Amino acid sequence: MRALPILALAALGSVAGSTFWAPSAFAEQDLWPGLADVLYPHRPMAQDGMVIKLGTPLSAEDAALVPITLHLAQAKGPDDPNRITKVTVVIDNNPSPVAAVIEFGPKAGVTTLETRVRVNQATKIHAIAETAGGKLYVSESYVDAAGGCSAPSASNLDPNDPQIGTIKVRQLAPQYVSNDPRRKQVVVMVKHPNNSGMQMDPQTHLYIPARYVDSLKITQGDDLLFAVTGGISISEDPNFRFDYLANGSNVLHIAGSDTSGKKFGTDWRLNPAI
Amino acid sequence: MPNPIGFICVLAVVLAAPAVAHAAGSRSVEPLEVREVAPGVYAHQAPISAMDAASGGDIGNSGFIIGDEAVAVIDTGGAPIIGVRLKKAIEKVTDKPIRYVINTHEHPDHIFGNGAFVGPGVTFVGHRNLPRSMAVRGPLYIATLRKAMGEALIDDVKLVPPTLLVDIGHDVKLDLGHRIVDLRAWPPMHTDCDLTVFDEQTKTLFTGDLVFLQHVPVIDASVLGWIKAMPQLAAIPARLAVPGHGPVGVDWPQALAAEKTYFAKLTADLRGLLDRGADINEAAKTAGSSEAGKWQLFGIYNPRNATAGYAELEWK
Repeated sequence: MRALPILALAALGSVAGSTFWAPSAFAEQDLWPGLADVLYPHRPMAQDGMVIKLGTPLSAEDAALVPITLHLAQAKGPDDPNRITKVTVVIDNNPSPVAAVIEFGPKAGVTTLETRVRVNQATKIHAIAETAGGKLYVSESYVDAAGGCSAPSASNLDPNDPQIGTIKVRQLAPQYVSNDPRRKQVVVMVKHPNNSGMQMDPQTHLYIPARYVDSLKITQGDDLLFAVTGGISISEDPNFRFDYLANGSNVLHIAGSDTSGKKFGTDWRLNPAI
Repeated sequence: MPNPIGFICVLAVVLAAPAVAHAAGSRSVEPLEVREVAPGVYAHQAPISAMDAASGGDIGNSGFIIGDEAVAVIDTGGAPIIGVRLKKAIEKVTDKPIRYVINTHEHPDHIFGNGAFVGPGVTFVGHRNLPRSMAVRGPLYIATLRKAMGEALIDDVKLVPPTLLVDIGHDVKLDLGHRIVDLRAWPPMHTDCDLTVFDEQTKTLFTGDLVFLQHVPVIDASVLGWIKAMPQLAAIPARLAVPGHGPVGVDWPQALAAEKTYFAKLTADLRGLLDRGADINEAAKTAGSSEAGKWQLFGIYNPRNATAGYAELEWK
């Protein structure tokens, strides 16, 4: 079958620099069975909204910036076999379908995680959770993208804007989070154009290579909250809004890198009053 | 005895005629309706609509300015056929050559008619960032709109990038023969490649999509940039304006008032939502909603503006 190697590359080639941001040739097909088989060969996937539920808007208001939310079951503890260790987000009809792989630390306690993705065209989106016990669960959603353009605006950067790799953390007021005083919610924001690699230099007519955040790791004290391996489907200025169980440390260590090798990070001191 | 060959020839011509007209593109088409808003300055007021099959690609305003020696075209419509009809409208008014085709920005409803004007002696003009935007987004626009509008309208689209580029802070003056047209490039506002066209003689300003009337403004680059540059825009000593969408030949700078109010309400709502920790989905549903009754296509573009605006203001 001729299409398979291409699919395999798109899925596993981990969004590497050679992928152009161009309309998929397979747009009208249901790509999911093939993608699922490439990502998790011969592994059954259960559907259980109590374990993982993917929330998306019905249609992309802004195709370059589509909020998606993962609702995850709360683990009973670090040793719970049903604890979700990893979630893979797949945007079936995007040129590079694997948008992000998120690995959670044993004590993170994340139950909601929202980020923003580009949607090239109407597509199914899948989120696959892997548990410590080795089970797979999948949640599916469909996003329409009738108008809009998912390509980034080429020179959106204001010279007064923060530099690439600048990190900002927003702490959200507790009344919107939980009655559990240990449960906190923050937004981690990274200033980065997350270039798709389809941009042509007007002088040289050469394509500017893709440059995007490929890894981001967030820990509180020594405990991993989560680590993201990202691709070009993550929107400009990658943004992660999530809850977690505080471990008493008042510092979030955030470390990331992009495909051009730039490293960035910060130790963000949290306001303990929030 | 009648000449059978002659008969066949006539028949062949009759049968071939529709195909020829289609191929030539301009034989049977109606010129686009234009109005002389000031002496030598013509504008086409497109209906307010989304880019769909029913619109036929005629949703963005366009126009042209006639000097003693040459003509400058401002935007070309949202389909090749609209460009052809605009050219026909120009030929109806003047036989002077078209020397410049100016694109006010990258959006398909303003550039998809460019192909109709390609030819010797014609220079395409745009913002420094326009070629890049066309290269990055053009193919996606074509793919998306082929589905939304149909192949017949979109298949012939040619992305024609400008070769004469205008930099921010360095206006370019085009001489059409005893008539100077001033081109100004703007920082990110509606898009990152907005250009205005000012006819000094009649003080008519083609704003492109830096001004929306009736059609809710679409923010594709920076709402804060738009608000920030608005006083500079208002300071252009124009008498009349031709906006990118809505009525043409309107008073300046009064034409800015409605969108100024919209941006103020939208950003005030977004700041309130961010302050109390609301998420982007809630912003998409609620921000700016007090303006709903004042604009057309509000349900399509306001949630989009709110979404992009939330992301922008989150960093401030």
